[in-house]
Amino acid sequence: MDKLKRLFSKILPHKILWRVLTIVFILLSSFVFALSGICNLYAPVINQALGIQTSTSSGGEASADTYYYKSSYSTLNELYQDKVALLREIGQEGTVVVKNTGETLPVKEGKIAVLGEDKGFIYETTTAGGTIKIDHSLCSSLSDGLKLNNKTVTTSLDGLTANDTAIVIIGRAAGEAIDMDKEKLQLTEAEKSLLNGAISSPAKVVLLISGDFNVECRDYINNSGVGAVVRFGNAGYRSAIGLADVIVGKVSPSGKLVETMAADLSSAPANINFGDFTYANASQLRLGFTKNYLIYQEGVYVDYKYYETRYEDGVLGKGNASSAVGTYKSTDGWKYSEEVCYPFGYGLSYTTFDKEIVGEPVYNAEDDTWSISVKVTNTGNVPGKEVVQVYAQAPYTSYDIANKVEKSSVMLMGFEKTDEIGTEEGNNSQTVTVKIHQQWLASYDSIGARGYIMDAGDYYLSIGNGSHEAINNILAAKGKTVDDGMDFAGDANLAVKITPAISAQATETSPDTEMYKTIYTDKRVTNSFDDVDVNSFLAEGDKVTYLSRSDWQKTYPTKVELTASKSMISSLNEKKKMDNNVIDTASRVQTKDNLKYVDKANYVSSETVIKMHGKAYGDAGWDAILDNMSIYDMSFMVSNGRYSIPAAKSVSFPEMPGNDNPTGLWVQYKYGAIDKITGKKTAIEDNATLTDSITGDKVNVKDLWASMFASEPVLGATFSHELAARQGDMFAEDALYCGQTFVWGLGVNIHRTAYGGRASEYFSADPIHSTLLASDWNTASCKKGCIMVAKHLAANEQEVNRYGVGTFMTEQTFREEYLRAFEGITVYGGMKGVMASYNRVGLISAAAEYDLMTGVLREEWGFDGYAITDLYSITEGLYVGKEMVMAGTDIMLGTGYDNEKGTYVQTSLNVENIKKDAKLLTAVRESCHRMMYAFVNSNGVNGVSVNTRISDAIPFYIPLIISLEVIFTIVAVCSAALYIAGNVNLKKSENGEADGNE
Amino acid sequence: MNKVKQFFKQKSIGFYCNLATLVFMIIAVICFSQLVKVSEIMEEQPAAVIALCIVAVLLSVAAGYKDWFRALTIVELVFVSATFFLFISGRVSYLAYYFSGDIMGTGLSPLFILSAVFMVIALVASILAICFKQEKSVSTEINN
Repeated sequence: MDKLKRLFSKILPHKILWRVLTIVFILLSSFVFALSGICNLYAPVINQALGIQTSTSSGGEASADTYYYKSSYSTLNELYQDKVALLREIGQEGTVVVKNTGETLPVKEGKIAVLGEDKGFIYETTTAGGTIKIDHSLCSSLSDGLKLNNKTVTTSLDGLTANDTAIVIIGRAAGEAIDMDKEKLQLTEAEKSLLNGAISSPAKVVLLISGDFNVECRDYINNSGVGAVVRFGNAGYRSAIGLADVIVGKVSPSGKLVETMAADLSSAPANINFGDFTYANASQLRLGFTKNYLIYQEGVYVDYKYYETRYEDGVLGKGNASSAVGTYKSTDGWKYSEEVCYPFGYGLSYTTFDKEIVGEPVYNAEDDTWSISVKVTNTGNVPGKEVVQVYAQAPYTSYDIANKVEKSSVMLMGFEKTDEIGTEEGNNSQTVTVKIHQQWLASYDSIGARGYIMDAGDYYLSIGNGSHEAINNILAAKGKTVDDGMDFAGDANLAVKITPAISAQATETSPDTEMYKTIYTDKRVTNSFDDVDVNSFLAEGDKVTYLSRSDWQKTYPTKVELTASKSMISSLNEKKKMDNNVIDTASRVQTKDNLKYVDKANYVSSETVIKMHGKAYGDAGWDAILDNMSIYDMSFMVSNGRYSIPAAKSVSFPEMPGNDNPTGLWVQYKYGAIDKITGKKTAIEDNATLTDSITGDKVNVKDLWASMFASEPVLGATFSHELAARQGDMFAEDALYCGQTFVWGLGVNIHRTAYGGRASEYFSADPIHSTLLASDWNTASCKKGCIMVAKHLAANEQEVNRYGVGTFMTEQTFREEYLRAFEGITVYGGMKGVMASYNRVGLISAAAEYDLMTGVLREEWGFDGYAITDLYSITEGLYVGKEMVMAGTDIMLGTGYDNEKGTYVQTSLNVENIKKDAKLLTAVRESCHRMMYAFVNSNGVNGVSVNTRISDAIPFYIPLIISLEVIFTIVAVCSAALYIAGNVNLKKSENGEADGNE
Repeated sequence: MNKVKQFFKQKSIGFYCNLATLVFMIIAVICFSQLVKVSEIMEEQPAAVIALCIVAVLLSVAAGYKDWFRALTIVELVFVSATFFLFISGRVSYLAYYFSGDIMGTGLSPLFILSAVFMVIALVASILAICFKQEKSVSTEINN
């Protein structure tokens, strides 16, 4: 005791020490306390970054019986070599040559000077799907590709002769959250100086516009000193070598433009209502996420559909098409040739092709398609591939004008690419057959028929090297010539009339409204988005005019400045809107009677989800699974979708890790080999290397990332079903070798304007082009068990204000332009995953919009996969979980509620709330059903058998943080105690002294 | 009036630091509750921040009236510091996305900045309140 007293008397006077320790450890303890909260909330993100899974499966073993989704490769080396070869091919076929004069290309001899941002715009600019990991050592620049093709490459104009070539690269970078604007897409003084320098040199000049954005440079395109103009997007790892192959003539170019190259990039009417628009009374109403709006006033006239329709109307002298409204470069009225440099779908080859429509197009009632066969003959001297593009024109009738139905003069309907033809004598022609879906000829009429209509009149199919040639061919078939104002003479033989089997009663004023009353399911297709048209909220005098070809002059868009009307205000108040929407969606959820659930945490039943592998979504077996699923698992599953679908121990459903990005999985490879028979995986050995078969580079396998495919516009420019399917297959292979089950990475929004920041993630300006390639890709991915999640549903074509901006348009525009690709992949590509967008569809957040996420997506199109929100944690004001699940979106991309761990962000989906609300329980149970259905048919169940059970795995950092918290708290408490004791002691001694003094 | 004057006359730096903690925590909680109103649906976490803040304010009042060998000031620091870190932890993704450039055109919310600044000032003041005496006294603390 005395010893203890002596010890205290020695240490207590060190008050500064105890005070400092107290303060420091209180701060540390609070910090670690907060850190433990963060670690719980963001566990999926942290685990994903550290490569940790939070659940482990046991009892399942790799075997031939449980190897459901097989890799075609035995080793990562084999996979890698095929992958780089594919990337090179995509580069070759995705290179678009739009101008080539005086034998500028291919470069056969002489030096090549590569000027400008070679690496910069060739591969370093993609920020698709957030951040992307770039392994620079694996990225090939154009110069690398040229050197591989044995060319002498310099970076200066010095010493160049007429025999040499200067390639001037210009480009722009943008990405997620960063839009372009008019200024950014102008040539800079430095770029002009570079181009002028090249033009004044004796060398031949190639202008390479790289990156996924067009740059305004009509004067240089038209300059006779520029011999060739090439368009190329973001290349990824090796696709720039493919570009170099085209430059040197190793292969002939076959790429086609995925959007119109306009002389002035702001000349499309969509640009007028692009960017930042805020309700005039937003501050007065104190609006948050809902303060912005966007009106797609241009309607269906997006990109080429505007230019070509206005062109046709100009030739036909209709609709005031040649008036001055909307002119940017034309003088004396609007002229196509002055507004457009190169049209959508256009691209040159080093050879020439003749095309001939073989026979009549044939209708197949079984799948409601038309088949048109085209014979392509290589008439030049070098081999090459050619794309047969089929465009259609549907009649524009007086009924359409009266009911505000709009028709583009040409719409891309389908395409096929030939093999390489002309390689040898006798192999210089090929007949390809293009299938088109007749339903895409129908137009949505939201006023008269409130459904799809087929007009009476002439329907044309036309083929052409781009949209402009296609419309000229149709005009030629209508008997028009250059004398009528056409830019060039069309070929009437390349346009053909077809006669869809519409009702005999249909007339100019009364279309067939029955043909597509139902399409994919039994559900009647009718208006679902009346409130997406802003006019539904506006008084008669305030209504917005949408662009109509009936009168271009009167209806041409103007910047819409909107004051939120009385009828909008209740929906603009975030809280009220959510409350109202919860009531609205709840009223539409059909409650199932006597739903069972297991009210036990950590429950493990004898039911296992793997039994349902290969079974239909509607199979009765699912009831037993869902009846035995713990409500704790359900709550956790619907609220925690960040980089994985959570495990459900109760029914032995394993965690399904996944990833982001249309340009590849943003993860490293985990396995060096996968046994072809049993699926047994072997981890990559330390220091393992492989040799790149193209470049000869040694690649450290342990550091290898699966990211960096070429961007979607490069794949889009190939117009190749085969390459899209091979890319889909390669994504699935990467997923197998990286241990991933899904990729949020099939971007199918469209390039509404030239300025949308995420152009790299979307194929093109055309929804059917996107549909077809995305379907090829997804079909191939699904075969190997990789779920591609299509995004962003819907109308998410700009980055500015994307969190909550209200997008308004006519239902026709919404369905035909912005939903069509999602519809197409669902029906023709077997889509199993979709991501809702941040923006609002009208006034309701896309993820919480019942008509979109259930009415159309599931009931009309028959989608049976799962739907996820976009990243939730930064957008708490957009919707509440309950609203979202009841609307048909199954899982929050974020971190939600975990009753077992007691952490939360989103309470509306916690166990207590689910238990007391039968409608919510019904919706949550259905969401779990959809997710488990999708993923029990994914590579995530490889190795899972009926004996497999799931258990929690605690990440290493959790005990570490708990230990630190305990230690810091103990030190803080002890220091504080000693500090206080010191104070008490001091007081006592002061009192003692005072007593003594007295 | 004389009593008030006398009261403040007896007070030392520690007291005024404590007073600063009290004032800034009150301003911070006002800013934070406004911030929650305009941008958050996170129900419990803001409630926890506000609750901690209120406890810190009460402790600050109590410590200002009568501290017991700095025990109340120390507990006050615990609550002020927990409030601050809990507030920041609830904004991790917001900050992450701001700094990675993913929140376009909006910038950091002024209410967020004000809440953070006032909490930091309150935290610093509460640390100083431990370091300095609350009341002037004849005797001098050893090693103080």
